[in-house]
Amino acid sequence: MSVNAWRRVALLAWNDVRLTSKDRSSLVWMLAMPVAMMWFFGTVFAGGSGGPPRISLTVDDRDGGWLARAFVDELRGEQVNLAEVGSGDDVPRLRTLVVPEGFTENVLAGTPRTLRLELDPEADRQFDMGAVVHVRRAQLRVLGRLLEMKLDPDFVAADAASSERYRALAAAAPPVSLAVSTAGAGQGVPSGFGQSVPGILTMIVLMMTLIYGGVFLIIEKQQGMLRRQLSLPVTRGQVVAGKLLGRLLIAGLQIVLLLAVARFVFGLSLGSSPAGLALLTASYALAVACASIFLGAVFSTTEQASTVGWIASLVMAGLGGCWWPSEVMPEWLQTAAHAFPTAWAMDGFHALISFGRGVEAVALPSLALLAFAALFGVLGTRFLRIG
Amino acid sequence: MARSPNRVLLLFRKDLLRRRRSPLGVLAMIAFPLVFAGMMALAFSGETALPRARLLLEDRDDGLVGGFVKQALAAEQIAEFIELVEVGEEGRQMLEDDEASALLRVPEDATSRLLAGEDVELELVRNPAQSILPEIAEQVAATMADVMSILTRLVRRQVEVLDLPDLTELESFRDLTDQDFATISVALRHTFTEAGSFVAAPPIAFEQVTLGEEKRDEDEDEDEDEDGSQTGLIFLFVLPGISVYALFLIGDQMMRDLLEEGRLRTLQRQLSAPVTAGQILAAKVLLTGVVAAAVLLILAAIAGFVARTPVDPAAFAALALALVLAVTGFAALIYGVARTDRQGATISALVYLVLAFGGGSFVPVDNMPAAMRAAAPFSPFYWGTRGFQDLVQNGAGLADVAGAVGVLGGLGLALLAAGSVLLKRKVLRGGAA
Amino acid sequence: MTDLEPPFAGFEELSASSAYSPFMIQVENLSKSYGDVRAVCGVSFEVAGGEIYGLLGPNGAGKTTTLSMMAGLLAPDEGRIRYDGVDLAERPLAVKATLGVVPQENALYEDLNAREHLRLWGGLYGLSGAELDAAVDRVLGEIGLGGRAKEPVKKYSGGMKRRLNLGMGLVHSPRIVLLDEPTTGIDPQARINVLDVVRGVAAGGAAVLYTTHYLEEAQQLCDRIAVIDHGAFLAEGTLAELQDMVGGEEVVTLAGDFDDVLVERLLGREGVRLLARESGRLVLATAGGGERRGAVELLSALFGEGVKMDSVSIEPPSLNSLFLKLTGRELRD
Repeated sequence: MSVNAWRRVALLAWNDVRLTSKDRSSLVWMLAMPVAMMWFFGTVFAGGSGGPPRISLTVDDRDGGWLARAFVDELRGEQVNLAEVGSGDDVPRLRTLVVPEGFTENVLAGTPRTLRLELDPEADRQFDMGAVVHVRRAQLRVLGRLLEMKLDPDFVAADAASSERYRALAAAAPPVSLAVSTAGAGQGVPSGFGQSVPGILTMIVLMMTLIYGGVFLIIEKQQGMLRRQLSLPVTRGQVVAGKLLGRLLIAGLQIVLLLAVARFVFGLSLGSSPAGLALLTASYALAVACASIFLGAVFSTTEQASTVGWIASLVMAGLGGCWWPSEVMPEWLQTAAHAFPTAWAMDGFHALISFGRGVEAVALPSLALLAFAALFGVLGTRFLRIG
Repeated sequence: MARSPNRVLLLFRKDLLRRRRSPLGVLAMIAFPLVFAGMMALAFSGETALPRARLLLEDRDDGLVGGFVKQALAAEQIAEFIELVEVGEEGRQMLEDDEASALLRVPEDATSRLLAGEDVELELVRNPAQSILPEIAEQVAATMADVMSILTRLVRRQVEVLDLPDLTELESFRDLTDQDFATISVALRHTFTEAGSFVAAPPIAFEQVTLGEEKRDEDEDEDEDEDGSQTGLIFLFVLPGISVYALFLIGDQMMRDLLEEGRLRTLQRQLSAPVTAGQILAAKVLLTGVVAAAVLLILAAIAGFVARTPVDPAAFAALALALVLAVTGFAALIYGVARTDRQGATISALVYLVLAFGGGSFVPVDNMPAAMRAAAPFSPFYWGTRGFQDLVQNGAGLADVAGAVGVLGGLGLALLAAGSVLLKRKVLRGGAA
Repeated sequence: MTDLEPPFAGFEELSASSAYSPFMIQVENLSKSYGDVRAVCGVSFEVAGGEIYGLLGPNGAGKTTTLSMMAGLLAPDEGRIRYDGVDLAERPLAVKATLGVVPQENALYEDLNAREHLRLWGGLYGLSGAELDAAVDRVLGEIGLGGRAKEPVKKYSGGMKRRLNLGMGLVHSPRIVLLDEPTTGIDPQARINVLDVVRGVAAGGAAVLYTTHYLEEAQQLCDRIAVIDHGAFLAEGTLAELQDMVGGEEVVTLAGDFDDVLVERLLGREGVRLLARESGRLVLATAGGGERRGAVELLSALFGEGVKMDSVSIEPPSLNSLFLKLTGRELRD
């Protein structure tokens, strides 16, 4: 294309950007809403600490003896929101561990006593499982110390020194410990904002570009503006290129702004490869821009385009791993989800943000996204009827 | 002379006909909850609730400790959660390539250090791109470390008590004599014998009970459901919340049409005929209610079919009426306030999304922080979701959904009254602000 | 008087009780302002049954605002509107039942077809059963959409939409018809069809108010015309009466550069009046008619003096020249 032709393409593109920016609702949906959603999901799934979500566990200590108290102390941990009955703590009674009366005396004497974990039927099952594991581990450690005490020939159950002996055992460092670290150079286990930011960004950019990009194209078709543009000294391809460039700019700008919010407002590290991030986001923006052209080309009313665009975005976002970690899906579904650009985008974001890898790690996802762009671009150009 | 037709019905039928000719918007609102719930069911269904976590084991010890770890992780009970893969140095790269959930590394001198009375640190490296499966791997590994610590301490205690040879002076494990092995075996046997009664009948037992259900023993297979039921359960768990959201969107679509008609000038045209603003508004309200009720009926029928539990008709009718009132009331108020149909669409989309998230339509309320849990009942979506869930999952009766009916119905009536006043003024202005 | 059926029970008594008037439309001192902008200022007129009364003016003159008030869509700030002696403000619904309104915008539902539109509007005006069916068939024939009555409006051309728009205002055989620029944006043939329908409506005894900015339409169609600009009536009467107001003068428009001396000399000639002077344009009224045509004499003089002109036009007395005379602007501007 000549310089003049490029200039016309750029003018057409800039006009679309301007039209979109004049629409206040689009600004709300493209910026305000995704930031709010990032905050919401980041807060809900993090408990604010950036770590895995905390399990709510209430203890009803009906014994009060030293062993019961020691057991309760064993339950405290980073992953548990522990509360005690009668203490005034505001934790819902979703899971209540009842330590029965006579627990200390009977256990020390060798008479079994049963800890009872009462689960609310409406509580989340995943958290219930986590609570069971937590309590079982505490049970294991306490039993281990009691066994060690019992093997001591000097052990006398009712002896007051036994509580001191137990405390000494509990305070001692375990011979076998587990040091946990995270692979890669990234920011660690994605939870809270680390999970929500890439996922929400991927979904919202797709949804808004599809809907607004597709809808505006249809409005231009309906109002005869596209046909009018074709009456200019431009080719059909240049008109389409202008539309595409406009949507690419809008999507790109949205991505940049949301990443800036993620970095400076939510404090999320964006990895250590600006080049990789640029390549991935540019490829994704191009893919969704082409998809919006395809949507606007195929449908003839704004209602059709916005409805289909919205549902398609939700499905692609859900299956692509934008809402929940994709590892929880069956393997076949994880593979099938790569029929959508969202899955490739999330792969790329995980490589950059979670693993802290470089541009080479996003080469394949970017290539896949460019392939999507080519496919949608060709189809959109083919089906777009102007005049 | 023929009797004059009812103008409200005429206008209602006109809008119904238009919707029939352009049904995509309504069909989308029926499809959306089904697609969404189906997708969730598909994503989270399977032989178990979650896939197994792939745990790579790099045993640099090749001794007692490494052997114990391998055996423990390969045990049948653990294999339900963990897929163990033994690897060498390539394990780290495999993890970086997102081929596993975690890597457990047994250090080179683990056994000799442990025997020498020193502490040993196992290393677990988690896959940062995953969040649930590595957590499972970590819990399993941490539990195993607890067990190893207990056994180590018990054995060391026996070493102290039984005066066993100083194993730290050995250069390698293979330097132990038969006598040494015999002594260690006796010590271990003594430990396990003493511990036998503890292990067989631990003084601290554990049971878990779901309130309202039969007691579940920890050895029972909790998941007696087949794959299909698991999928159905997830589908039914998700469907109510999303359906309530879709209903509000339906109400939004129908009421938005009033302002759109202002833009198209068909509203002004109606006003130039012997039609009152009240009649125009009544027709729109009727349309909103009828379409919302129809969508709710379809979704409830599908949910009832999947659940295979009978739905109490009285409870359903009451909840449906209350929901429809709430949906219509909200839509009337929003479009009474909005200046244009597009502005109203933006306001309603934002308001409904916030109320849906806050009310537990997308994320269970129980998973939210305390402050948000406390705020949830202020959202009509909370009551709608709960009521619908109780109906289709728990076979609730009229008394069980009375709370939801009361809140939704009362709110709906109040909002409809306020919204109608605003809308009527808007209609008289030809749909202008 | 008309031979139309009374629109509602009690109509005749109501009419008899008010001041009797042969006019079916009576507008008195109608005014409407939007902030500081006076859209309609003190407009008064009357329309008799069987008459087509035209409101002629450029865009923004106040035609649509006037018609909107008359259709009951806008409340006037001042003034009164009566139909068959019944005040619109006092009995809006009853009065609206007698009106047929054809708005400027097409205001149609894209997914419904012509028959459905007409049935809906006929129903809203109180028709039902066989009466409604007959009315719909009649109107479809009149507007020429009988063959495409079952196709959705989104498939119609602009002219077809206009015709349907017209038909919706006539399906209930109204006694009074208000039309707001019904031929805007349609082809000449379609325009002819619309005008024929309007003539037929008036011939049936209805009082017709017709707003337009097309001179030719007003001249061809209307029995009486009111010229409106900036919300006020400038002149009113039959075509002949309005042309007389022009005084038989011809309007001479000269394009070129004319200095003050020349202009003064021209204006000194007998029967020559200045209508407008702009850069490069001079508009003069000259006494016309009879044996002496002032325009010809003027031009002969200009040519004789060798005055350079880019173009010359002579316009016989017309509504445009009247508008030009009254406002200094052409109706076409």
